[in-house]
Amino acid sequence: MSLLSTFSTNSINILAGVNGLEVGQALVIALSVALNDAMYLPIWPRIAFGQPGQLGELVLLEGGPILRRGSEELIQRHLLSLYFMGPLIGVCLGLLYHNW
Amino acid sequence: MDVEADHLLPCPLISQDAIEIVPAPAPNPFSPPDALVSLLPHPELSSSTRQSALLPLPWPGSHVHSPGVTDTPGGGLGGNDAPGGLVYGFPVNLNEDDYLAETTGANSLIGTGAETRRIDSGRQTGGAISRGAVGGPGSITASGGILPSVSRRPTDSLTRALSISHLKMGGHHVDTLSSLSLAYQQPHTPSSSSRARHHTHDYYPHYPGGTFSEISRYKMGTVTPPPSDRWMSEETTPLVRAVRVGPDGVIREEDVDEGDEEHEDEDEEVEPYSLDEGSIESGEVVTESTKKQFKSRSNDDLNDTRQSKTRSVGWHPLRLTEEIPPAPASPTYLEPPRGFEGDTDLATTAWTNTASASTRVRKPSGPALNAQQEKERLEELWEIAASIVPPMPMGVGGEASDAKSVTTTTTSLPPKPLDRTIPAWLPTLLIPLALSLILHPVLYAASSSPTLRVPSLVVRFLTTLPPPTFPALEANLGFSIIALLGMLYAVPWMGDAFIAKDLKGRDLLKGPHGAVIPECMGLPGAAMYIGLMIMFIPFPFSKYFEDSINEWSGAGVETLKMEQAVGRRTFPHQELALYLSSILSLLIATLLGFLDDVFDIRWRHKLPIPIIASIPLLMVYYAEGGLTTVIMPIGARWLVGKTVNLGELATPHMCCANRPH
Repeated sequence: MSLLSTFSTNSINILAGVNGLEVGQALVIALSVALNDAMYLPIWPRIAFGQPGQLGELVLLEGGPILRRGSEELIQRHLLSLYFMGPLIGVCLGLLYHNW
Repeated sequence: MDVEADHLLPCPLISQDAIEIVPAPAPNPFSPPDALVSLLPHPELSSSTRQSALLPLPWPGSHVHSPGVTDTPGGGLGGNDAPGGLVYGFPVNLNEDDYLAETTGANSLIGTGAETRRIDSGRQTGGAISRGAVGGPGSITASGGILPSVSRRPTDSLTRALSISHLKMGGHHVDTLSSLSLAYQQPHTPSSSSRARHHTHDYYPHYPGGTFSEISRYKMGTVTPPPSDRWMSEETTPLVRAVRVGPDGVIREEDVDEGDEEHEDEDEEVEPYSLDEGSIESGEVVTESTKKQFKSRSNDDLNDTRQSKTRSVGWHPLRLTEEIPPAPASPTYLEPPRGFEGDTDLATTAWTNTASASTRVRKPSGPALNAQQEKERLEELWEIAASIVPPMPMGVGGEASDAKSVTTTTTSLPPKPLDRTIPAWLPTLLIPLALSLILHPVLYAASSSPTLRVPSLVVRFLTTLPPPTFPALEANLGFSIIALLGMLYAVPWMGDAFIAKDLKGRDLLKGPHGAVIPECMGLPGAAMYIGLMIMFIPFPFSKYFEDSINEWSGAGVETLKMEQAVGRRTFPHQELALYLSSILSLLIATLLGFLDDVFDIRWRHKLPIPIIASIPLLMVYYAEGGLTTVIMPIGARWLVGKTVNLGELATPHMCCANRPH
């Protein structure tokens, strides 16, 4: 994991100098991480993702996670990850706007 | 030199003229004065009669390249009589004769002091008038020309200064030009009125190193853009001067005094581009003095030593003005202006060259050069001049370079930079959204707390809303919107400060003369991110505060112990530790990124820094029993199974740490 942080930061930095490239990479990574985190949250309407037996219902039932092998701790972990990804996406979008 | 450079330099026609290079200030959408100016219509574009005489106005990154374009007959300038006609060309006016004349001191290359012509672009002429008026007759800033009496310094030729500057700046030709332009500008002195000085760079009282952006800001008689302009459009190619020279090489003032010039002057007093910052601020005074300057214009006034006169030859994007610098009115002129004491840079050299050349016949200071050395220097100058103007696609004829096609040369302009103005609906929409997203969980938690008093109106409003499922995540979304908005506005605000510290680069994707943009703008982003993350800390743990408050209120005071104090028992310290260690790692990474931008750290030094930065994060992760199991992808499960527990492999430096269990 230490090497992961080393290689990820340096691989982003290796093409530094092109306008908006670094922040674009960071934005893509942050968006993917945030999407992965959000899929673990029990916020998704079941009808949208075809829970068995409820495909035909049009009423939005209570939300559930897409990936359902999570636990409460897993939700907390991904919430913490989302807390970090949210402002990062915001900052990256703002910086990318000026670097576009 | 090749043929291409020959027609780029219409030297004989502008040989004896003083050249001033005025950078093209770019309208910055974030600066209110320029935004105002950009909204006003161009006064000449509406009249179709002079469309043929117009060259494109500069915008960021634009450069006018039309060598040898003579004015059309019947145009606003009215001169088609070659060689007396107007010639637009690049202002490098060095040919061999001039160079030899200059080195022998027979003919000053850059102005004789009696006639120093200042030709600048039309949009800056108003600035010239207002600056001169603000300065007053007794100040240095009033002249806009040269200081004739300052001749104490050892002189060097301008051509040498040009060569040296070329070498010193590493071939940065715009900087080379700046040493030329500096010869004709006065530094900003405190004798100007404070209101006018407010819009110039007061925090740079000197010429700090003589880069083009810094020097050009001090040019008297030109519009000094607000500081936020610098990051958008600095160091574009300077404008091409228009020079009107008689057949004998002397400027013909009686031609420019005739006829329609009076109307042009009246137009100019109301034309919007004369409203630079100074005239906007001290409007009435500037207008009056401007009128006075125009009315007092006559040939007799050439001997007036108190006032510099500006003659304009009609309205034109490339306006020809002549400024006759005043004679020194007091011995204070002998003092070199502030910012020049003691420094021996090129700016001083060029400036003193001008001053000395205007007063006496200058002798070569160094040892006399032989013919071979002079030829080498001359060739070097030609190379500089040719490389200043990059070869551009010429007209419709492709590589046609004969005289006829030169006159119909079209200017090839780099792509216009994108309009990055932030639409007004964005903050008006996003700021209330962000605040409501943040305040909703806060107010909800506060209303459910037995100790906090929330107004009943708020409570009643909150009951109409669904309770927040993930209150901290909702607040986090609000913080994300704030981060986006803050970054949108922080980059234009802070870009100027970064450029001032030389953290800038040229936008190479916008052509060879792309706008200079600030670098290292990730630093304000990272600072804002870390600040927001720190402000976000209470939100994920607010429910624990709430629980503790309930415990506190339910227990009697005498039964309280330290373990039952606020947050002591149920507060998840591990989560907070993970959060804080993440911020610590982020801070180290920010420091690494900033140092890399500033110092260009080598890779062998860059590599270990993230490893060190990840130690606090991994330590906390390990201490709270973080999982190190990796789920294998479906195609690779035959290899090692469905999951692999990396274990100590994931955190190798934890091998020597004591296991907590």
